[in-house]
Amino acid sequence: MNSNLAPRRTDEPDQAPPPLIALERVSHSYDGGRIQVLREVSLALAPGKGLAIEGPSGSGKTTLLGLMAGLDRPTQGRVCFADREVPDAAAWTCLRAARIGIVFQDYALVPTLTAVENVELAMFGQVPGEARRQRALARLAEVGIADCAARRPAELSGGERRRVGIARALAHAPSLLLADEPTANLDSATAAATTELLLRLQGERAMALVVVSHDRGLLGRFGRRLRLADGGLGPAGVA
Amino acid sequence: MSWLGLLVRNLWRRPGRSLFTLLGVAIALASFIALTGLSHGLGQAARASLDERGIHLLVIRRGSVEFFSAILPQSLGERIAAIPGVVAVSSELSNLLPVGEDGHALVAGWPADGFQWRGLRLLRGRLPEPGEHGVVLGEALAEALNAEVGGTLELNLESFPVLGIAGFGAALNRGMAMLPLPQMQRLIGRDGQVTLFHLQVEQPGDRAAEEAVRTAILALRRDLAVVTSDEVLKGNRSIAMLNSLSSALALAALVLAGFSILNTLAMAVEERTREIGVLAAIGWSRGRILRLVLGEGALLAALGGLLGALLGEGALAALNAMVLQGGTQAVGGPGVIAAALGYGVLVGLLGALWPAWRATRISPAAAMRRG
Repeated sequence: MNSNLAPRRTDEPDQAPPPLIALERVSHSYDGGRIQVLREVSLALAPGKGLAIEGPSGSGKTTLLGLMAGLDRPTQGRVCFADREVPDAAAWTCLRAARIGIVFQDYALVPTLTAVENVELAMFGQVPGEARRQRALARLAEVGIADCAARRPAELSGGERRRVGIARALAHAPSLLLADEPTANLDSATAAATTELLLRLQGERAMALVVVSHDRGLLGRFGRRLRLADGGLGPAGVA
Repeated sequence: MSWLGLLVRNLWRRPGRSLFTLLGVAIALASFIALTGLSHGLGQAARASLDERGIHLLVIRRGSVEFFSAILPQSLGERIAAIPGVVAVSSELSNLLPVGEDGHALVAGWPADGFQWRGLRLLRGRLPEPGEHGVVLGEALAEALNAEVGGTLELNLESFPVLGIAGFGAALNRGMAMLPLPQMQRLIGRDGQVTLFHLQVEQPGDRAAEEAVRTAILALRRDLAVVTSDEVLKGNRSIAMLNSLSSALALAALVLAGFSILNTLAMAVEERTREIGVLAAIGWSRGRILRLVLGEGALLAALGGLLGALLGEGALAALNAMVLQGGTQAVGGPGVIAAALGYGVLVGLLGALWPAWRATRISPAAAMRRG
C-alpha cells in the first residue's frame, strides 16, 4: 500500500432492514501500522443482498473480506453482525460456525480427505456422525457434484474443487457467504457456471453474498458493486 | 467420517514418520514393561520363595548394603528361639556362588535340624545326613547344569556329590542349591556366621502377635530388622538400587517417547499451518483444534503402547528364557501392560501439548493467505 491515500469514500448503507454485516470507520494496517491497507472504511449489507467488491491486486480486498468474517480484527473502527458489535475472537468463531460461510480463492481443501469429508469438516462438533454425512452429501448434490463425493481433491477438476469449497461454506446454512475470487483459476465456461451457481444459491437461500473479484463476468451480475482502491471504498467505475 | 477417522487420516499423511514415531514409543514402552516386570518379578520371586518354604518372618541385619554380605552370629538363633510366640528358628547362610563350569546360582546352607529341610519336596534322591558332604539341587538348576543324583557338581571350585533333586513352585527356589550349613560356612570362609534367620511363629498373619515377636527380637540387638516376606526386599539397598535403576531407565525411555511425539506433531502442525487456519476460519474453536492435535498425540502413543505391550511381553519371555534361566521370573501381566498404556497415553498427551498449543495460536487469517 502506498502512503498517498485517496480521500475516504463511504458507501451508503442500505436503508432497511437493519444490516446483517456492517463495518464502521474500519482501518487496518500491518507491520505495526507501517503498511496501511484500509482507512476508515464503512460498509453495510442487508440480509439476502449481494455485493461485489473489485479493485486492483493488493488493494486490500481479501483483507476486507477477512475483517467481515472476523478472521482478522480491525486496528480501528468496529465490525457489527446483525446490528451488534462482535466482542471477541470466540464470538467470531461461533458466527463462522453457524452464520458465516467462506469460499477461499485457492479452495483450501484438505488433500487427504474426500469431497464429502471436506464438507463434513465444517460441521464437526455441531452435527452428529450420520446426520453430518447426510447433510454433507446433500450440500454436494446442491452444488451439482454428488457423484464426486468419494473423490479426493487431487482427483477433482478446478471447477469441482471450487464447488466442494462452496458446499463446505454452505454446510451450516449461513446467512452470509463471503467468496474470495470464486472464479479465479477457472476456465471461462467453468467460471460462468460457478457464477450462476453462486447467484442461484443466494437466491434460493436468501443469504447475503459478498464476492471480491477481478472477473468482469462475475462483477457484472451484481447490482451493487464497490471498488476498493488506495485504502478507500467507493462506487465501482469511479477512480 | 468419525473423529477417530480424522485423527488416523492426519497421522497417515506421513506414514513413514508416524510409523517411526510409533515404533519409538513402542520400544520405549516395551523397555518400561521389561524393566518394571523384572523389578516386580524379583520381589515376587523372593516372596514366593519364602512363602513356599513356610517362612513367616525373617531376621536380617539392618542396613546391610548388600544382602549376602550381611553377617549375624549363628548363636543368635538360640536366643530368638526362646522368645514367646516363636515356634521354630532356622538360620541360613546364602550367597551367589560359581556353579559348574561357568554358571552362578543362589546357594543356601541350612543347619541339619533346620525346618527348611523338612519342607523340601524331593523329586529324586535324598537329603544329606548330618555331617555328610553333598548338595541338593532345585530342579531348574539341575536341568540347566544337566546334573543328576549320583553325579558331582562343582560349587565355588569344590566338588560336591549331588544327593537329591527338589521340586519347588517358586522360580527362585527351583534355581537354588542347598547344602548343610557347616559346609556352606567352610566353603565361603564364614564359620559361625549366617546371613539371616527364618522364623515360624504361632500366629502367622496376626499383626499384633507378629509385632510382639518383632519387638522382643529387636530388644536382643539394635542392628536387627524383622521383616515379612512382603518386606524382605524393601530394606535391601542392592535391590533398591536395582529398582531405582530400572525406574530411571524406564522413565528415560518414556521421556524420549514424549519428545519423539512432540517432534512429530510440531512438524505436522508446522506443515499444516494453513490448513489449521482454514479449520479456524470455518468455525473450529481453539478447544477443538487443541483436541485434534492432542488426539493425534494420544492415538500415536496408544498405538505405540499396544505394540509396546506386545514387544514388552516378548521381551519378558526372552528375559525369562535366556537370561534369568528360571532363577527368577520377570512378571508382566495386565497390571504392567495397563500401566504401560496409561503412561504411553500420558506421554503422548504431554508430548502433544506444546504443538497443540501452537496450533491454537495459528490465526484464522492464515487461511486467507494463498497456499
